[in-house]
Amino acid sequence: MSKQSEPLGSLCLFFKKMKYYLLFCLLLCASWKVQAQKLHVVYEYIPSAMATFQEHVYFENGIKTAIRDSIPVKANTEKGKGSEEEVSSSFSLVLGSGINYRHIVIQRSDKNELRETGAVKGTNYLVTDQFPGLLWNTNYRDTDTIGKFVCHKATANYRGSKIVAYYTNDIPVPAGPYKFGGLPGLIVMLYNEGANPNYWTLQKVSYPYEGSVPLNKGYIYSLPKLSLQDYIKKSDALVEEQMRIMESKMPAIKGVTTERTKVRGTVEQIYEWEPKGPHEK
Amino acid sequence: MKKLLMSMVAVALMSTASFASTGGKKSVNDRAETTNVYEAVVGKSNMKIVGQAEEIKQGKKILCRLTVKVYNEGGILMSTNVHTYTCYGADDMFFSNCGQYFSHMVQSYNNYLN
Repeated sequence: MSKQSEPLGSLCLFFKKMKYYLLFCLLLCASWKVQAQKLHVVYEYIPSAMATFQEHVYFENGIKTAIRDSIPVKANTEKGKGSEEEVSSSFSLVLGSGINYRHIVIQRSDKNELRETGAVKGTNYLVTDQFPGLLWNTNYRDTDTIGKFVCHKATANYRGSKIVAYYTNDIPVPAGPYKFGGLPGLIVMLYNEGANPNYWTLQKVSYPYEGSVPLNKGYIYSLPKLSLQDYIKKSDALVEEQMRIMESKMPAIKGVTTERTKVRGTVEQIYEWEPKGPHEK
Repeated sequence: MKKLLMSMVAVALMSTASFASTGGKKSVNDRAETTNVYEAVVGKSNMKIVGQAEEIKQGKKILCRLTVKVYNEGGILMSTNVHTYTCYGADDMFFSNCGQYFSHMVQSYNNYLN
């Protein structure tokens, strides 16, 4: 009796083990298939009411490339709401270098370190960001339909901002706009909560995508290199200089008090190396 | 100084910027009678400045508040400047109403750019 049950038992154990191996192989194949399929999506990026940009996101072999156009889609064409109570007229200005570059983010799924481009005073840099990573909270029951996708909510804290994302399981690619991703599906909409929210909404999906990523890697990697900390330092100093010059050029009027508040209108409010957010001057 | 200015200030592409009333509202403050908010139209530019003017009437005094928001070429808000002037109407030495003050401020920004 015991002699018969022994081979049967080992056979059962073998099949049990096989079941796990098969499951593992299936999962591996599925993940490989997702990895192998290329994706191209277009987001509409709204940093403020002032401008809207298109952001193209490509995902291939675990590498995400986000390319934000340098030319806005819409220029603000808002006009005065009436001339009856018009009290002043004609003012607008141009400040800056006059050269706009595309903003590019190159991010590997298995690495925290990412590369992005950033311009200061007309010079384009290749910036290295030790990305802190995102710990998503997906414990939300509510679903929303955005466009044709049924979306699930997720939130995360990122550099002093609360990020709210809606992702779809219909496209099981852990990609999203800018530096965001890592969810079970593609991010359809994302914004940061706060006084100056930035919005990304999905406009176009090509999945699987047959084309290639329109990126000149030779040019990107030949750019002068900076760490994110140095880049932020440079850009903050430039803004400060611009504001100081502007203030010094404004005529002093007796009785006028001026209060200047430095604002970071980006998603990033506080970086890891900063004890606090931007200070009021 | 000119070089510095040249590097920072490119050509000013002028477009009309006007302050138009967006309606009045009653303030919680007993002394304040009315508050009028005016919004300015934005110019087509690399760095944009948006103005919002507010007129708060407090008896004979009028608080004229001009909020200037400065954006960069990427549409990102960088700075908010709030200029406040207390206007005493016809008795005022410089501006008899907020409109004059707002116009003056806008002109000052304009002069800075040209």
